Amino acid sequence: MMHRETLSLMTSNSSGQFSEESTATSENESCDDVKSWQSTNSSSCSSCTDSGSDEGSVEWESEVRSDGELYYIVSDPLHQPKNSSEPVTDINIGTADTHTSALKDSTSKSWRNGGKLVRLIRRRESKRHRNNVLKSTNPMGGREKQNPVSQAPTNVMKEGTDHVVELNVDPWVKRNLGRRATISETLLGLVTVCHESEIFVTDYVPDSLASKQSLIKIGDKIASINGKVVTHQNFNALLEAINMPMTLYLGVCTNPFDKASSTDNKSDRISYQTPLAARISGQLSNHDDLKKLLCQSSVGVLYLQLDGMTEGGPEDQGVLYCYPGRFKSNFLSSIRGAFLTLFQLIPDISQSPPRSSSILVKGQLVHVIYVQEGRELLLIALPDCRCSLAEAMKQCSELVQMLQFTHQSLSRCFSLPEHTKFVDHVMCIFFSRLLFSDKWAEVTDVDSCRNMTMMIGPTLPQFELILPAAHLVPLPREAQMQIDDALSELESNDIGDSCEDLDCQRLYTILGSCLYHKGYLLASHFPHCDLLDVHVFCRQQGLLQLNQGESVHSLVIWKEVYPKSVSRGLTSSTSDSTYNFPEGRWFIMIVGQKQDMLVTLLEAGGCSASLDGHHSPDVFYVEAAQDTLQHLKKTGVSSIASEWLETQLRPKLISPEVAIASRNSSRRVNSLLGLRVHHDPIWQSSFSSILNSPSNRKSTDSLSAGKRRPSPDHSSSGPLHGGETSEDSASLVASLPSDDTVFVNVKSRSERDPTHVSHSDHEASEDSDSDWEASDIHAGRRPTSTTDLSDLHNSLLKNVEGTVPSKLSTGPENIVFHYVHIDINEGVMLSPVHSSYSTNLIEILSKFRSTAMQIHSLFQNTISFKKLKGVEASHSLINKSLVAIKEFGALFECNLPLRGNEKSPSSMNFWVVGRLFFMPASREVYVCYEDSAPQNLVELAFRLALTTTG
Amino acid sequence: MTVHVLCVTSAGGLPLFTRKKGDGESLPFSIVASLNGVHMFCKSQDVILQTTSTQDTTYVWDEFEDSIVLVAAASCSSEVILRKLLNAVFNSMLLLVGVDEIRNIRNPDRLKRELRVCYPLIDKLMDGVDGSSVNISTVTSHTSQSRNANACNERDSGESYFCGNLIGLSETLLCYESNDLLTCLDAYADCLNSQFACLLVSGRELIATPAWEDLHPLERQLLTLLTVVASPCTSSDTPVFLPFKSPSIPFRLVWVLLVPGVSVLGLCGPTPGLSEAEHLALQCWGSSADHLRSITQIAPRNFPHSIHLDVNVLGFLLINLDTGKYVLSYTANDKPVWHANDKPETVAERCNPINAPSASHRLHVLRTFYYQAAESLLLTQGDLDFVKKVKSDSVKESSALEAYWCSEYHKCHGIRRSTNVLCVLYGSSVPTHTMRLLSQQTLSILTTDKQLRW
Repeated sequence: MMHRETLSLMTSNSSGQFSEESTATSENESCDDVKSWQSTNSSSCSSCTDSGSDEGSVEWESEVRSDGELYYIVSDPLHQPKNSSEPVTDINIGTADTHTSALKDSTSKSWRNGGKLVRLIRRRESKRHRNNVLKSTNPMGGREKQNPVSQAPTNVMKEGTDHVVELNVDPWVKRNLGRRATISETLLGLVTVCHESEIFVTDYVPDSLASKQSLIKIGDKIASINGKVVTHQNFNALLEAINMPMTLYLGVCTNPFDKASSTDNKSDRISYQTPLAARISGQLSNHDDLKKLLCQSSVGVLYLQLDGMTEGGPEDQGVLYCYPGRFKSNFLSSIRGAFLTLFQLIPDISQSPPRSSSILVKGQLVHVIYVQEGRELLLIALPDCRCSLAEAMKQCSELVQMLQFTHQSLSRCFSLPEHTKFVDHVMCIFFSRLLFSDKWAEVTDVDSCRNMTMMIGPTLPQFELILPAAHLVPLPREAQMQIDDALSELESNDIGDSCEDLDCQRLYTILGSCLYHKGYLLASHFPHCDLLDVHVFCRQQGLLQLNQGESVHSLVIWKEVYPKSVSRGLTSSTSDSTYNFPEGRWFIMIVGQKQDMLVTLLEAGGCSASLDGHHSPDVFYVEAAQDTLQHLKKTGVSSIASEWLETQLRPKLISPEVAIASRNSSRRVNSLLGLRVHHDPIWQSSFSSILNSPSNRKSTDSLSAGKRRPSPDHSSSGPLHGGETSEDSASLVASLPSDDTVFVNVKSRSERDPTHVSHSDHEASEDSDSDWEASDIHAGRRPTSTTDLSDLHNSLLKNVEGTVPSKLSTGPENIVFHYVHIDINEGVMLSPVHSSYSTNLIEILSKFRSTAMQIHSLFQNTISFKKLKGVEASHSLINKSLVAIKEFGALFECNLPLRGNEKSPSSMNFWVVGRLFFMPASREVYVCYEDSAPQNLVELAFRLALTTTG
Repeated sequence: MTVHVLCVTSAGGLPLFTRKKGDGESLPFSIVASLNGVHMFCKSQDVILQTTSTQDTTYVWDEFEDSIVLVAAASCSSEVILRKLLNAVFNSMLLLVGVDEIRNIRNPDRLKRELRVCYPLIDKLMDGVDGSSVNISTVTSHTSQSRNANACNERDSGESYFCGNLIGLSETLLCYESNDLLTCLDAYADCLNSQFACLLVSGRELIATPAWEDLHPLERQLLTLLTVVASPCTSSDTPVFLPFKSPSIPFRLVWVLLVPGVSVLGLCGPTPGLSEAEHLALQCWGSSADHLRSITQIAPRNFPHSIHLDVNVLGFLLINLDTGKYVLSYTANDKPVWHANDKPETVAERCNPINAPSASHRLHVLRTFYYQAAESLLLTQGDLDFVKKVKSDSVKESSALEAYWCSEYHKCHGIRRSTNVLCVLYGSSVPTHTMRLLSQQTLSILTTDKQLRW
């Protein structure tokens, strides 16, 4: 080691001016460069990760488009769900994967932890690279030389499914990968998994030889070692038999998943995409066929000028944009005159412009939505069988919001020819999502599309699925803190110390970030309007569906956007507000790994460097986001989230079948004995587990103190109440916030308020005395070993296991099937995640959704009336009987399938109830529950809001 | 709140009439022409324009018999109600003009003149559109000034013709003594040589012959409304077509006032003449004049005073979906009018709890609840068609069993049991789940009594 150091000291001129620590770092760095082709990689120093993580960044850099935008999605070949309706289970979760991430944690630390020089080097590279892109018209020229793929020796036959890879191994210099690392990881640098007695490569150990050569790809099968056939029985034995440095000849079979694409002469890892991913990234070849299909359905978009039309102009006069198909094949274009007339005529009669028209086309009811911008008009046609009028309005306003987010204004979006391709793509996704509804993810080619459209009946009502709100899944408090912490760390953009001395201005300010897991929002540090923008973008681009249904190996999306919080970048001369938004440019950066997705909004300009021209993603920021995801995964947040989504304990719901079963069995007993019996095995097991582990119980209890109410308390709280509770809810609700912090918590998540984070931090460390709390979670500030983090991981998981399920309903039994809690102002929605859908549940849910939509529209009367001033109120045209409605309920009957011992079909009644709250913030709660014990919606909503405290 | 109804011939686009209800401006010809033109243009492109809606106004187009286009525009109303309104408007044109005249319009100017007789009927129908006829002062004042509300209440209860006016349903009232009267009615119908006769109390059907009950509910509603709009006289004789039963052969609608508030209706052929009919009516009903007079006391309450409902029930609307009739009572717990006049103070205190809506407001709330909640949730698609249903329809769409809403000032609860739908209005202090019990109780009181002939 000493020898190498001196050697590199001589070669490296620049190291002298740095401190001793950084000198060492730089030497290791250069050592790695020198030795990388035969090294044993004995160094575990963090600095070596530079080259390691390069591997990740180089992949996507070749995909950057000429305007700087990037849609890079690589699906994970081994993690694809067999049936997309089933939740994905991470097959690696217990075995190899955790180790990989443990190793990669050193990567994640590198940018937090010291390593100034590394950052600097990386930073320069990225700057240099950006310049390259700017200068050269061909973005592929960027960093070609450093691409390990192109460096790979070409003497190995690539096309064959079988090839032999030479690998120099040295068992004497083993890398310290922790005691649980397998021999394949330590020796070969390959993370393997056994599948049907064959060995597959699932990942590389960072910086390992194999990862650099990239001759072995993820998904490949290891067929032989030194000519011996490998099975899962002898694989470890063969490797353990190696006791001296030698050259291994690995027989590798190319991953069967990749066979089709490997003929493209592209790297397999880049080209593997599921059909869904391909559609999202816009690389679907049969787009034209899809367009033809759309032409046959009653959908369409038209963007028109309202002025400047003359008699006898060309036929398509005033049409700025039209989709699908060209002007002639669009059914809207022939009748656009009618809509133009109505649009100009109706304001004369009723003061407000039209919002929608319904027409019959070939016997099919079609809704046409009007959206005005300036003197231009957007018309969107959607068939009634796919969405009702109310749903169509919501869908369209979402589409418009997304287009404004990506293009600043509709006018810019539709008028500028360079955007046409993107807008076509957006429209294609929008309409195909609508036409195929929940089958969208499964559509693979046009033939199946055609069959699908035949097959699919009318779309089921989709109330909460299209509400303008992100579906938030509040994790347990500890995990929530981990996420908040990691996101804050990322947002702090803490590279200033290394840059100041070198007069290097930051490229971007991070405006906020949020984290999705399987399509559900886990945490958001956005102002609410930005959160909505981002959420709408993800939903309209199909990213949420991708995130939910499929696991990606890597996802990087980069696009210039115009967030609402900066008034879409329009400097309005009229507003004389004291605070002027900085002039600048904004970019959305989405980074995904497996089923986690991190969305970040970046601002250039203001205090950061102002930019001109097209901007390709900055390597440093992408890596920082990727590292944050890695870190979150390491701390176990993703596995907790998965588990949390599966168990759904807080609040716990009940499925209709269980409700019936328990009704038939338990009620009789209860009424006879006057006792309560728990028929819920999950509840029992988790309850006993919490009793058995005193430490756990302690921590939960101490944390909860009045916030979590364990069920025993609940049951002892006695008979049904709610009858006595005052119905005069205004006073009741008003008294709530003073008692509890929950509303504060719900409300202010999204603010960029450092005190909030520190506050919760502080509170938690005070409240809790569990062991992991003591060790600091700020991985960046303290030397944290991997074992600490895995402990953290475990303790977090344990915490989930020990959670006592909570119940929303009053009365002895749990009777809630479904709920939706919307905070429109914050753009956040709480709703359960159903793991399986029985026919009964589907029936109940679709009743729930259609009714809830009706209630939601009814509540709009009350909401809009509240906003009116006194004088306006008396002149408004709202029906006066509707202006004060705050609760609405409907009772439905659900027929249950016949069971063996019953003669007549049994049925069950359930309520769908909606409630509107104004204090402290306007919120709507919709609950679906079995008709047994009467429920007080105010209490129920309160309990629901409590769940957000974790 | 403004409602417009426009009528245009589809062939030439000639306006036949425009009616307006509410405080808005009436529409100039150019706008009428444009609204029709848009519809016509779409039709030429094989697209049928159905509705257009703005923030608060809905426009509905409908074409009938390929010869007439009706357009309705109304604020704070839904498409469903407006479509019903247009259908009712068209049927009232059929009622008075006949289908032949409308199918082949030879002389639009003549048709225009003939249609003038429909105006009162159409105006009455437009009253029934949700959201009309409530003035704001009663809504806003009744919370703070109960005095004021009481005054309103008294004034309203004076008006006996405060009809529910649900489009497409015929209004009735519940009465114990109706069986004796039925024999009188049968005798009168025999005298008129007709099967169709009914007894009206304050413009509501009390009893009717079986053949009359077989008429479409909309026909029954239009026929009774005709008498309401012609009320100042004591007898009348109008030629009418029955839109569903005989759209091209006219009948004579003979209406005779028996005692103030009570009248008898008969559909008959060329004979007997009006004077003879009046004479016959005197013969048949003379003996029961006192009885008839006592019945008029039911009027604003619309169900017998001997039935006591829970004190929290402010009003109710009971609908029978089989026969398409309904009873509406918005003074369910008020004392009879003559008592109220004696001691107005105490009655007001007892029956008008704080925050209880005034009578006209109650009617309005009940109607709104019916249109906004009950009709969409408690009723299924086929419930109001009244076309002779095939009984064996296997797949029956299920409706909700109950629906309720809670406002700051009142609560409404609707309940459906087989073909009966009951909507009840409560004060805001009634607990939500108590409403369910009270509604069930009320429903059984009103529907199980055989003597009430529900």
